[in-house]
Amino acid sequence: MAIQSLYIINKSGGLIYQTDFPLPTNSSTSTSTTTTTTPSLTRLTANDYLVLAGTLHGVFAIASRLTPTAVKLTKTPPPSSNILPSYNNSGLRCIETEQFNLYIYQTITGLKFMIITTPTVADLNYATDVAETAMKSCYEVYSDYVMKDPFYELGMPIRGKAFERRLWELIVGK
Amino acid sequence: MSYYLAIIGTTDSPIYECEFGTHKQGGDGTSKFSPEMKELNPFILHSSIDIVEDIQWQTNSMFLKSFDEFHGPGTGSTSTNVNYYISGFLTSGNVKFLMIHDNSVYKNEDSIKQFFMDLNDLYVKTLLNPFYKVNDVISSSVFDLKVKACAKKYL
Amino acid sequence: MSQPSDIIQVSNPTQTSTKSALKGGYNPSLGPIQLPTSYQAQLASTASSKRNIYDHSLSRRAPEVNLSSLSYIFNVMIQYSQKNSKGIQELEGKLNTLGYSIGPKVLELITLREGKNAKREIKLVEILQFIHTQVWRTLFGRVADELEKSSEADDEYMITDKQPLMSEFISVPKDMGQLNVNAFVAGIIEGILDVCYFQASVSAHTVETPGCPNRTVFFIKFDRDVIERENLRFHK
Repeated sequence: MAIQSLYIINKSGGLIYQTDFPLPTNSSTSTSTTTTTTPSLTRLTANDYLVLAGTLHGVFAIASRLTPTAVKLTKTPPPSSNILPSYNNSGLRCIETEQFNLYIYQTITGLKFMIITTPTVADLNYATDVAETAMKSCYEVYSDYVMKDPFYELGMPIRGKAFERRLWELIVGK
Repeated sequence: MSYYLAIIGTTDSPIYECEFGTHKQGGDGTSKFSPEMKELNPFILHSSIDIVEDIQWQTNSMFLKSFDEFHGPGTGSTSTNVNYYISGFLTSGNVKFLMIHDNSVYKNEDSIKQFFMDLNDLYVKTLLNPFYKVNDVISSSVFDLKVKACAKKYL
Repeated sequence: MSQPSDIIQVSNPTQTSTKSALKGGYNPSLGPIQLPTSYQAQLASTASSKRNIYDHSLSRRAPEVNLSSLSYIFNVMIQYSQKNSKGIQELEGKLNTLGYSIGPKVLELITLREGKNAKREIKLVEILQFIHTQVWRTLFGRVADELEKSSEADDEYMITDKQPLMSEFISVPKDMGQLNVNAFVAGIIEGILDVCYFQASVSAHTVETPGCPNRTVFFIKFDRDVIERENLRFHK
């Protein structure tokens, strides 16, 4: 499972950040290829990403209405080790397909982190945990490098260099 | 023994002054300066600032012991003149603590030094008050009391 | 019938107006005044009733501040300064002023905490080294990376910080150009130098190197008089 793409969607459904990551290459093949920095996904137009984000936001809202009360996750206090819990209790949490997996993490303020990964071969529960940890780390970077930036306006697209740099360090490792 | 203390700001204006006597040897803590000396004290200190500004570039130390003297009217009704000594302490921010004392410093050099160290502590605490700017007059009555308590402890 | 007690209350001098009359502390228009010891005792009893700044100890072992709290307050300081300024230069000037008043306070605190080793810095290079090591360690928990003398002029020095703490989380937008929020730290340095009689102007510049996108150079330009005095005193 490798993270291919990250979307950050604000609480009103606007896309504030989107990036594609390169797929990690095996160490044996890395000597021969220099294509490690090219993203694994085809780029769409900027407008398409906005539409995607908006659609997802809508689907998410509908999903949380459709979820039967019995299936909703109870809001039990998280264990002490579990900082930054996902507040995605009743909405769409993951989509598993043969081409990709999609995971959604929601913060307390309604901000959504969404990642697209390569399809998983292991069991789904494990993959969900891994994805959630990854998104939590993205959230941490966001709260440091976006929320502590005096030049960032809440709800607007993220343009900060420091955020982008840290995010790539986190996901790609360089 | 009597003491006159002044804290001089970086612009050579006093930001705190006080007068006190010794508590040792049965003293009651009030100064015994004669009326003439009371009037002269600020002028004596003011004239010694020049000396401080000269020697402050020759030494790294903060405590300047008896760097200046003054021959002036003695205590009470006796008209014999006596020697006054001036000791000082310079903080790293070049605020001067200057003190006139009418006894030779060789007897209580350490206690004067200790007194200045404690005074520095009180001064830095004043400085850490966000409402206090460098060179503001220190009008706090608590500061005044603490200074007098230090005087009682060491002098 | 209750009249006598009223009269006694009004004419009882021991309980009225004692508090308002007690006014200790230094007054520059009066000069040093000596209050009677009884007054002082009363003052002490009223003053000691609540804990004040003079009762706190200054020598704490690890005086650390939460980085997030620091970032948020710095955030607000920048936004406030930005709101009140018309351009980049004015913003940097405002940040510099904010830092300037902190300089002398930090300096005195650091020297006090050094205890017996405390000394005044009277040489130009030594005060710069003091800022480079002690001040940096107190403020940011580590020493600054480099301290250099300019090869072009004898009154110019540079302190370099590869990863400045204050701008760690901050990305300056493109339209803000050369803004460096470390102007605040430059103000602190300037405050320290000025109060030590090493008058200088200090500015912060971003000088990027590979791997250190936030690398900041604090450019210190001393007044001509300072250099001349230094030459007269120490290089005869």
